[in-house]
Amino acid sequence: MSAPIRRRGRFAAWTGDLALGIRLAVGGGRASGTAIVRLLLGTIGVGVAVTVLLFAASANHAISQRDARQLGAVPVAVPVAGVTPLSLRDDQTLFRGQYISVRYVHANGPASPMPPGLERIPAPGETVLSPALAELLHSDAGTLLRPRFTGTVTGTIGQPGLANPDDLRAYVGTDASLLGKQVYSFGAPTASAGLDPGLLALLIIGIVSLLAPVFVFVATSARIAGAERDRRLAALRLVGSDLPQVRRIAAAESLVTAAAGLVLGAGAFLALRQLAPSVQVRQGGLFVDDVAPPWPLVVLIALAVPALSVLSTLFALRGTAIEPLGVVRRTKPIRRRLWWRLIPILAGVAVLCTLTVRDSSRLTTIAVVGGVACLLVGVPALLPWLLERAVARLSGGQPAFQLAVRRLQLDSGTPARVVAGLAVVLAGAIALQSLLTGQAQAFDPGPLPQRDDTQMSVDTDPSAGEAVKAALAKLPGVSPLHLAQSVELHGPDPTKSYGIQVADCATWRELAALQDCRDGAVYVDRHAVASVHPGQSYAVSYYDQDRRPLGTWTVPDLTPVTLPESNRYAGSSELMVTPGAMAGLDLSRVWATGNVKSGSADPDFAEAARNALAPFAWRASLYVPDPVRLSSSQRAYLAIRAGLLAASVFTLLLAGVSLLVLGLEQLRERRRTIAMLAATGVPVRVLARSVVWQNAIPLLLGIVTAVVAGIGVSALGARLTRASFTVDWLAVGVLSAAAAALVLLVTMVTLPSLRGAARLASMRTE
Amino acid sequence: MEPTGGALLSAVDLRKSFGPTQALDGAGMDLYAGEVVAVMGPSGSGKSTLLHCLAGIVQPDGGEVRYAGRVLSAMPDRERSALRRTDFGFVFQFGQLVPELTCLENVALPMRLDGVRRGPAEKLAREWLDRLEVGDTADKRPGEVSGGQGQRAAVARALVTEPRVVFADEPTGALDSLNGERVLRLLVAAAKESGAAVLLVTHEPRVAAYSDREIVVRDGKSRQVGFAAAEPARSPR
Amino acid sequence: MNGVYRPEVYTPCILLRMSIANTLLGLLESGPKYGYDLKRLYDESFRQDRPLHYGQVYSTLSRLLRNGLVEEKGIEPGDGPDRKRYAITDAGVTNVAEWLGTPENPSLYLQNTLYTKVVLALLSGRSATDVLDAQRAEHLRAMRRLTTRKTDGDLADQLICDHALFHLEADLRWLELTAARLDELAGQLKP
Repeated sequence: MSAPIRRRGRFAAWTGDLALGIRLAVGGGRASGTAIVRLLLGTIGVGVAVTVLLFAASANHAISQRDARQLGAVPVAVPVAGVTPLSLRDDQTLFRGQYISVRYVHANGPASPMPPGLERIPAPGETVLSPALAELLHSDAGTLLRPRFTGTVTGTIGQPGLANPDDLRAYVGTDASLLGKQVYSFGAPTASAGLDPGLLALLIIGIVSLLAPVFVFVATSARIAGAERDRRLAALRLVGSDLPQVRRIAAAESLVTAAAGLVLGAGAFLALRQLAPSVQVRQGGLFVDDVAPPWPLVVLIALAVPALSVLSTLFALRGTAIEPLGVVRRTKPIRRRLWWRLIPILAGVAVLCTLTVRDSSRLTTIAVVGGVACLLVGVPALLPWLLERAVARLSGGQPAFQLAVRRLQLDSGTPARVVAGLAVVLAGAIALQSLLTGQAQAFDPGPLPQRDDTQMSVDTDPSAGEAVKAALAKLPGVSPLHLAQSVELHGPDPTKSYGIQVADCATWRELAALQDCRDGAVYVDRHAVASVHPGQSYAVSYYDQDRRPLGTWTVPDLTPVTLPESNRYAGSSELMVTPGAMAGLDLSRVWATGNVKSGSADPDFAEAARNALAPFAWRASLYVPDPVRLSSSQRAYLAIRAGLLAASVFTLLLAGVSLLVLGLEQLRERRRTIAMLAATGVPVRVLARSVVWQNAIPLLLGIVTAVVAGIGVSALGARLTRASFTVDWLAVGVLSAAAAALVLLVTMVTLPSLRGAARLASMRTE
Repeated sequence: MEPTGGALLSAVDLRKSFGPTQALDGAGMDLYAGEVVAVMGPSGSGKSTLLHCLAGIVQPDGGEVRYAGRVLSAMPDRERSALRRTDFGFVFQFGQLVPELTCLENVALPMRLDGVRRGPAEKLAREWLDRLEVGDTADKRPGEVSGGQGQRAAVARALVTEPRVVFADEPTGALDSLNGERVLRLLVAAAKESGAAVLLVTHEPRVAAYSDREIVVRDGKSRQVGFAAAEPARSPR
Repeated sequence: MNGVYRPEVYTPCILLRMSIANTLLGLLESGPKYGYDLKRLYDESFRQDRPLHYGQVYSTLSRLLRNGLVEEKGIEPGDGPDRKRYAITDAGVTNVAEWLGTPENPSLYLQNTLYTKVVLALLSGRSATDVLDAQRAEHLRAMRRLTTRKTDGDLADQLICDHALFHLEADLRWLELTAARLDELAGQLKP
């Protein structure tokens, strides 16, 4: 008595199919090297994409962590009950173009607040250094810097107190005489103002355009060695698998590739992020553990990449009917339909047209991302249709051209996909470039002028003024220092303030050539438009770490003078005041500022000058004035521009790699035909030219589509960012040429493999 | 034995190995203008390699191939390619037609590669297709016609340049008896008419029976039997 | 006369008688033998379904003796029925060589003879490949004639010729197979 054959349950059948697919993907390699190559190429493709995605996902975290630490170190002067304030003075010194932040601190009691990253507040004469500064001081290059840090080094600033691993920073303990902020706590309560909405839109569009090709790449990686896989699946059909089963097996195969790619990508991410400290992102490297994607995004990537891979495999199987006796590609492929290919583009245009970026809410951000993504995804969706229509009318020409055109007519899908990834990058890059050009009028500071190292400014506590002058005078070739004190006048209009300079007559004689200067007088440039009027009273304040009030001052009669052209020193200041005119106010704590010119352009001269002032510690500092003050938006713009351009180069390379992989793959599938043609005497030159045409025709179309899409995105983006819409034709030309060069290069690289295929060996392998 | 001096294509002591496999081990033969020679032998005996060497597709490791007084085996690849294009024609078992081109374009391809303009090339190609009784396949792709039709288009392509030697490697291997015979009859008749010599590699005696004489290849060595001298070459017509 | 396939001309009997005489001659080449030894050797080498009769052996030997192809090597005493030893003459050796070298006319039931020839060639140290190649050439010659006739003839001709061609092809295929197995065969015949 025989038991009836037990059929597997649906679940068991499914898992069985998946297991078979996995075995085919992994174990199939034993028989053929091609299976290994296929698995390897696919894995590398997905792996590269996953690495890029993980880094992109980490970027925000890395930057926000850094910002959080920077905010955490901001001193807060709001009194807190039970806390003895910490006296703190922020200073900085410059060493060969690098800023070193120096904080002088004095704990007024045991309960004084602790700056982040410190274990204890340094006592007078003690210094705590950041690791990077300690390293710099120990290096040979640091010899010139050492005189500025003479205190006993008692510790290292920990990561919470540092923005970057290469942060140059020191906490110096001082005695109670320190003039500074009274700090009750650390950590700014509010986040810094977000990006300008225009810049935010720019950033989002940039990131989306650069990540879109990554997804295109994942999708194409899943199709590597499609023909060979189809043959294998046909063999499975012969032994009785039905179509859904075959699809599941194929899905499992691509799942293996995706999984291997995920592992590889994650590994590469972990390995590469060790390099984070040496990568300069917005002035400074990153801490390794800052480069960490948030878990929701990790899960999203881990799910989306395999899903995309599987979907694209199933989508690829749509066009082929896998029959038991082989793969039947429809000799006349179904005419591609236009309507659904237009949906993403129309949706993108609709979204971007109806939005305004005025409300920079989360929803708007998501909508902008969606809209731009739709537009860019529209490029690879539309390209096969366009290519099919374009080549349908072509015929004839040279044999090489004819071969290429006929091949494109028969299968325009693969070449279109090959170029599609590149077209997305190009469209994104063009959009970015045009948007950047549009934004440039608002934010681009233009070429930054060179810093003049011979012009230096000195700030000093007035009590140390004479000693500072004497110390600087010892340096050879230095012009004498003339110190003036700056105070501000506040009139009834709270939005306006006026800066005035107070100095003794000896100084004014030197600075403004006031030969008959008299203490107690107030001078005004005859040519300046007076905005401060005699007899009017103003509140007076000065700035030292904070705005500090001095009292009230009534402007006396003004003495007009003619300043010689060469001595327009007071150009920014309207009034030249002598101390006697402000006798009612205590100016003893108002810091004095003066300029020094060095005779030599030796950059180390400035270092020597700073070293000469080192003994004064917080009471004096010397700096080379920055000729340009960039607004935070300008700085953000420059950073975004640099980041996006660097990333687009990377994505272009990625597109090049995918192009190469697919190009080689195509050659491999056509080995036999190539060998036959070569056998009948077709010169390899003709075959190579036909390969070039075969890539060039879709490429040309891809470039045209990309240019249109890129300009479209930037036109819509310009509306969002409220910048004027300009097309940077030079950039469009250069980018298109770069894309064309990339395709030519890839074709060149595939030529040896074409030659290999033209040898007889390919005929024998069949 | 006839003197070898009069041969159009001759090979002496050919040696060729692919990795550890010795495909040819001292094979030689002569082919005279206008004759049809069958190369017979079991599979793996080296008969296809002999054809490839004679046609200049592969370079022998040793020995010499002479064609019309020139040493083919010493020519650079470019010249051999040119020779294959102009003086030789090829019919393989399958797959020699470019799948993307129509049959007409496939037949016209060798002429176009030689610089003939598209119009005249395709006109001549159409004539050859008609002559091989497959004129109706002109605008179809190889994938859309039957095996026999495709092989006849391949014969047309091999002969359209009026080559002096046609190399046929199992030309009927993928066809049934009836279609195979039709292709062979047309091939041999057309070759005889244009004075082309045919080197016919086959393992089928009925195919070899279309030849004037045969050569047997065994273990990489060839043997010329039934030499044309014993019996004058006769047209199968 | 040779070339065209005419089955009616030859009968298996004639073929058999001619080949037995030559076979015995061939067997004698390796050295003088008694009649009984010849019969045993023949039965063993060619695995005949029906063993050779003594009578057939002696009648054939006496015919060969008459034609001067064999000679008697004296009678040894003993109690066996016939203790005559036979040896091959030079004329006999020439006869064997000619027979082996002459291709058989392609015909039905050829294999018997061909097989015999191949085995003999192997046993006598001659090239069995030559025998097969000569036969192949002869077969192909016949097939060429048929092919020519077929190409020129009407449908009836074609059908008749094809019938003959397919049979000849079967022979040739057997030849190819045998050629491929010669080593194996030689190994079995020479212990």
